[in-house]
This record gives sequence, C-alpha cells and structure tokens, in this order.
Amino acid sequence: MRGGDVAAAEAGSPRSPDLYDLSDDSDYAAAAAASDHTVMRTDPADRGSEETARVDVVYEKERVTIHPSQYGSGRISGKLRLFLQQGSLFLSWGPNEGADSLSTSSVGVEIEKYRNLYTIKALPLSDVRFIRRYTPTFGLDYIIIVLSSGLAFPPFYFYNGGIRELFATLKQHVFIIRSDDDPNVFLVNDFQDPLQKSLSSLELPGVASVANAMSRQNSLSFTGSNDESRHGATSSMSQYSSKQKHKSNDPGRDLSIQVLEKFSLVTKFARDTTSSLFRDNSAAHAYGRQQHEYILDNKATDKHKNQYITPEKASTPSATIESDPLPLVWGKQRDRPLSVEEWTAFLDPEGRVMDSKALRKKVFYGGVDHALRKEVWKFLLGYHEYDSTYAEREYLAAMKRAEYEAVKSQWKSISATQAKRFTKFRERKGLIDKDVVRTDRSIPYYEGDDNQNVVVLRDILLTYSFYNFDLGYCQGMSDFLAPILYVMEDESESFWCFASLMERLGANFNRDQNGMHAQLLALSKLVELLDPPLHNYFRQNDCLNYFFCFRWVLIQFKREFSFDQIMLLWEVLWTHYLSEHFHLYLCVAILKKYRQRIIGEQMDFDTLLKFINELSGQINLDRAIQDAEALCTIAGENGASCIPPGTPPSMPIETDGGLYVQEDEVL
Amino acid sequence: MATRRRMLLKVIILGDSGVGKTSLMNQYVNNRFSNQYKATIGADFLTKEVQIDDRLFTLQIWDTAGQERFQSLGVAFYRGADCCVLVYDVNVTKSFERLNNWREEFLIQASPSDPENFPFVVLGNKIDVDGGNSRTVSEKKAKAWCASKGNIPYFETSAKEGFNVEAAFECIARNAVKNEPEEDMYLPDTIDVGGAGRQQRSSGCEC
Repeated sequence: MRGGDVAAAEAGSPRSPDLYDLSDDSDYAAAAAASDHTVMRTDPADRGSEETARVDVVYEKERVTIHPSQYGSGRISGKLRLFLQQGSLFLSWGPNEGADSLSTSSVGVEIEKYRNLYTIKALPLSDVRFIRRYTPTFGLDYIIIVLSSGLAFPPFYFYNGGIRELFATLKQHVFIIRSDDDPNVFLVNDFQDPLQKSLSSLELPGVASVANAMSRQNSLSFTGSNDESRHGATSSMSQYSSKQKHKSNDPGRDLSIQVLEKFSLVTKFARDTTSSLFRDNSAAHAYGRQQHEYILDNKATDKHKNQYITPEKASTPSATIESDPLPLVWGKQRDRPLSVEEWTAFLDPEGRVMDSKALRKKVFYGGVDHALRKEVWKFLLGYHEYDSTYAEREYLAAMKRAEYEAVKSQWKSISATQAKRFTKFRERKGLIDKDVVRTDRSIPYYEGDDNQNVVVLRDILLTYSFYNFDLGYCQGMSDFLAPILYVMEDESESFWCFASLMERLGANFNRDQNGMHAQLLALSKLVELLDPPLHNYFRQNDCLNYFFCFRWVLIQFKREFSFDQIMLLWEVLWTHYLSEHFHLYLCVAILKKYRQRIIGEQMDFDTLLKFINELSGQINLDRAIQDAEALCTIAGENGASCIPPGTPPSMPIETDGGLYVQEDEVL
Repeated sequence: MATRRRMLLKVIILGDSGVGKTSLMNQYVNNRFSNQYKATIGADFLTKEVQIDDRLFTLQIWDTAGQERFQSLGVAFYRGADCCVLVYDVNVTKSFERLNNWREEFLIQASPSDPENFPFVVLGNKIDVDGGNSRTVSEKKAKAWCASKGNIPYFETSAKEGFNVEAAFECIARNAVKNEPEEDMYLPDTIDVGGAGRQQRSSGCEC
C-alpha cells in the first residue's frame, strides 16, 4: 500500500539539495519514538530498537509556508510531510535551514524564533480533531490543523499547491469525513458517529474517546521525566497559541479563531479532562509555569539530538507563555492574591494607580489580599478614581462623610409622630429591619444579639433608600452591603462603595425587573452560543426564562459561596477585566459543567430550579472562574454581542424620566 | 404523566416579607425552626410525602420572595398550582391588609381554570410573639375576611413553636387534592387503593 502513496507524494515534491534535508529515516524514527509515550514510558530501554523502526513517507511537499507576522517578508518556508510508522500516520513540518532570503534584518531575529516555535516534529494524526481547508479564488491555498485539545497550528500556505494530494493521502490512512456544516472542514478520527451532523453537536459524549485519548497523552507527556522531545513539541504548540493572541493583523488568525469558536465545545471537553488530570498530579505547578519549567528543563538536560526545537531559542518568549498560557483553551490557573508589595508597586509616590489595567488583570486572576481590600475595593467599585492621589482621596473621604451624614439626618430627624403619617418610610424601615437581622448572621462580625454592626447595616440601607429614593430598598441589597461593610469597617465609606455598586446593579432591583430580564435574556443567548445542546434542551423543556438562575444573577452568587469566597469572586467580577458581564459567563460555565446531569436526568423546570438552588456551597469557585474565563475568551465578540448595551452591570443608559421605574409601589 | 401529575400536589406560599413563609415550610417539612433563615431570593421549594385517606401524594411546597417587587416572577412559579397559602403576621396589620393583593395577584399570574373556586388557605402566623400581646390583627377580623372571600379555611400558627402547623398543612393538602380535576382520579396506573375517599376532605379543616 505504501508504494503508490510514496509515488503520489513524491510526484509533487522535487527535492532541492540546498534545503535542509529531512529525509533521513532515522531522524523520523527518533522523533516518532519520542512521541510514542507508551513505549517511552513502559520500556525506555527499547528506544534503540524503536529508532530503527521503519518509517514510510507517504506525502511530502516543499514550500509549505507559515506567515508568523503581518510582514510578507516574514514567512517561513518549510516542508510538510506525512509518514507512517508502525501503522500510525504522523505529520511533520520543519522550516528550511537558514533565514528566508526575503526576510529583512529587523524581522530576521523574530523569524528565527518562530522557525523553532512552529516546527512540528511528529504529530500523530490521532491527535488531530479536524483540518480546515481554504482554497480562495485569489491567493494561496492553506490549511489550519486543529487538535483534539483545541489547539491550532498556524495556517500552512501551499506555495507549490498540493492540498488535494494531502487530503487524498490522508483519506487513505486515517478516517476522515467532511463536516456537514462546512464542506471545507475535514473531521479526523471521528469514529463515534460517521454521520457526524454538525460542529455544534461535538461536545456530545460521542467525542469523549478522542478527547480522552488526547488528554491521556498529555498527562503522560507532562508527567514523564525523560520525554524531552515531546515536551518540546508541546511547548511549541502552546507558544504558538499564546503568540497568536498578540498578533492582530494576521488574516489566518481570525480564521483559525473563528474555527476554534465553533469547536469551543470540543475544547471545553478536552480541557475538562486534561485539567482534572493536571490537578491530580501532585507535582504539577501552575500550567503556565509548568510549561515554562519544562522548557528550561530541556535547556539544562537536552542531550537528545533535537533538530527542530532549539531550547535556548524556544525559551526566549517564555514571559509570554507565563502570562497567557493557552488563552483559547484553558482558563489560566488561579494566581495568588494581590499582595501588599505588589499593590505598593502599582502606586506612584502620590498614590495614583499607574497601570489600572494591569492592576485589574492581577486582581482578576488572583483576587486581593484581605488586608488590602479596604483600599482596593474603592477603586474596583468606582468610588475612587485610579488616577487620584492619596491627598485627593483623603479629601474626598471627608467630603463624602459630611454628605453621608446629611442624607442620614434626613431620616434620623423623622419623629415618631411624623413616622405615623409616613407610611412609605415606616414600611421601608420595617423591611430593612427584617432583612438586616437575617443577613450573614453566622459571620462573627454580624452574629449575636444587639450587634452594633447590624445596626450600621440598617442605617446605611435606610440612608441609601433616601439617597436613591426612587429605587428605595429591595431585598438582596443587604446581601451586597454586608461584605462591603465587613471590609470597610466604616459607615460612610461603606455607604459610598455600596452606592457606587448600585450605580451598576441598581437595575437588578427595579420594580419592572428590567435589569434582571436583560441579564437572563443575555444569559440565554450566551448558552445558545456556547452550549447549543443545553440551549436546545432548555428550549424543549420550557426553561428559557432562566428563572432558575435568578438568585445567581440578582446578588451575584452571594448565596452560592462562603463569605470568604464571595469577597474573592466579587473583586474578580468588579475588575470587569475580560467582560463587564463575566458573571454571566460564570453562569454558563456552571450550567455547562452540570449539563450532562441536567439533560441525563431530564430535569424539568422545577427540578432544575431545585437542583440549582442546592448547588449552593457545592461549586468549585476557582474552577468555575477558570471555565468562565475560557468561555469568555472563546466567545469573544460573539459573546459580547449577545449582551445588549446597558445590561447590568454596565452603566445604565440614562433617560429623561430618571433611572428607576416608579409605579405605585409602597416600598 | 397523568399518574405523576395526580401524585404531585403543588402548593404556593405567598405573603409579605418576613411573615414566616420559609419558617412555616421548614417547620412542616423538617420539624425545624431557625432564626437564621435568610430572605428568600427568587424561589425554592421543599417536598413532603403525605397520606390523605389512604392515598399517597407528594406535596411540593413553594416558598417565594415576599417583596412585592419580585411578583412578576410569579408567572414562572405559580403555574400549575393546586392550592395557594396566604400568610400574614398577626402582629403586622399591613401584612394582613395585603392578603387581598396577594390573592388577586396570584389569580392573575397563575390563571387557574376556575378562579372562583380555586382553593386558598390563610395562615395568621407568629401568634407566639410577646405572648400575643403585640398582636394587631384579631382572629375575628381575619375570619371575617376569609368568610368574605368564599370561606377560605383559616389557621392561626406559630412556625417557631410548631403550633397548628401540621393541621394547617393537612388542610392545605386536602384542598389541593380537591382542586385536582375529577377525571384524573380514574386514569389507569393509579395506586388508588382507598377508592372512595376524597369527598370527606373537609373533615380536617375546622373553618
């Protein structure tokens, strides 16, 4: 069977002697052996014999080129090959030796780096999820290879043609079918369902085996100690992935991301399994760091003849890897909270936050050390301006304290006789009195009879209901205020922080519930985008009102997590780092996580509501945030477009008639 | 499907914030009282197996947020209810005065097939408070209102002390059964062994 293939492959690939010669079979054997984890792991002594195993090149194409930068001159020409070893098909790509003659000196260094980054030593086709073929009328044909893990290689442009032969050869050796959704997408290894209907159904259990296989391999390659080549190859993929995020003008980038979006489902599944494997590995560090260390490891111990990955060069952009590992696939491992030293470093001598974006990013990934919350929350909540100085903030605090006392005196001065004729006041006060005594009373700060902090809670809420008389008091507000007062330990400062929060979330408590409806509708759209099977299930079961997520959204998960956890979650949400509506992605992440159960147990609306309510205290917060981060990144602009402007916690769109809808309501 | 529907009795508890809806539900289902209940956000429910005249039912008791502002959610939660429990605090006149509002709002949002005869039960809760000295709504006044609304059964309860809670919910369950369409009783696959039984439903409700 191989004779014909080789002939077909070689027909289109004349060999140039000046190019780096990849034809040495023993090199391929070494590469393939290194990628064969089972062999490596179970019997390393056998490696010598593996190296002599037979390798059959079935496809080879010169001038298959990547374009790592937007400069036309920055392309890297190389050779793409398919080869068989021990009955399995592998793909490889290596750049031609020497800098491309076209590259200018300024980009030359960059290019040299990419040459190594993008090299594919020996990629088993079993790791490939699909290959997307692009054959534009004008311009070069190219392909994008997407792995089961969700990782994508950069587009490979075929300067000498050869795409048809590539697919013809693939067809002869691996199971490959066209997607019904897109005839240019070729699904590889889709054994579960040869009639695979749509891209969007890919996260159904059917793909489990493929995803699992991938994750198993990953775990082996990451935990094995002497599997250097594999680490190198995997690192180069992740580096590509992180690089990809920073490039904005590469036409291939958008395309591949678009494809990835469609396959976010597969991605998610693979990530679920792989990340749980990482977690189980006690030696595992943060994923990004782990990658980094392996590269350094390679650098230190690389005795293996490694033609394509040059560790010194590969480790050059390691800072990038550490800050953004696999942005499209994994949510970043949670970081440590912002420390006092780090916080101080963010401030200039006068107390301005110099890089608010970096600060918000840091908080998004790790939260804030509790001792700093009092200070940092005021910025996150918008009470303090990032570019304010210590002096200005001190002045503001004094002014605001006076203003607070003025508003507070409005209700403080209402006498008992006046209150008798002031039903609205009496009832508001009654409602607040009832709620503060049942808000977070198990927290030491609020526990016990005659607790003064409960009184302060009451005073702030009542003052707020005068400060914002139209909105008044609504159940759920005390849930928001309690952690704020606990952190601020100051009545006036707590009030202004709470008022700032209500600038964004006041609409949650509107009489007409418009803010809630807007968010639940946006949530529905996001689930439709990010988890079509779940969306369909909800649609079929009359659950699209998403009222079962009402509590999650109204008080931003306050009842779902412990007091400590909620402080962390809120500061993460308040950064608005990836999205102002990150809480909605968190909803999607949690729903997605339980999708199997929801659908498997055929939950109806009632059961679902009960199920969701009982998740309280059961949700792994770090994990959920990571999942939400990945979803948010994957959704990108499409996600943002699910959420109409003005949807809380976006700042409301002001209208002439005031911000809050008033009707004939007593409270 | 019909069998399941017949077995499940859906009950909605309504009333102003803080009158004790969550406490009543928990006292009845779990025989527990806690000072630590939080204000209900959205809705939740508990279930309890009950036997009425030798027949078993699952009573699904829905607890909802008490603030008027959240009433628009009712559409989703009130659907398919078999009985509605209206709760007020005997120490808070306003909570009694708002019973009518709750009743009407329920009928609008749940839109039962026969609103005239839809079963309600009224509970005057917190009779334990201050030994009854802080009471502002008399039993007589409450009963008069219930009578004017088509003889709604009325119970005075203390969720805290568990007083009269069991009796109230038995009446609630019987009224919910009564609300079930007659034809459902004779569908196949029923486990109805008592046969006769539901015309003497009112025996548990002294009202």
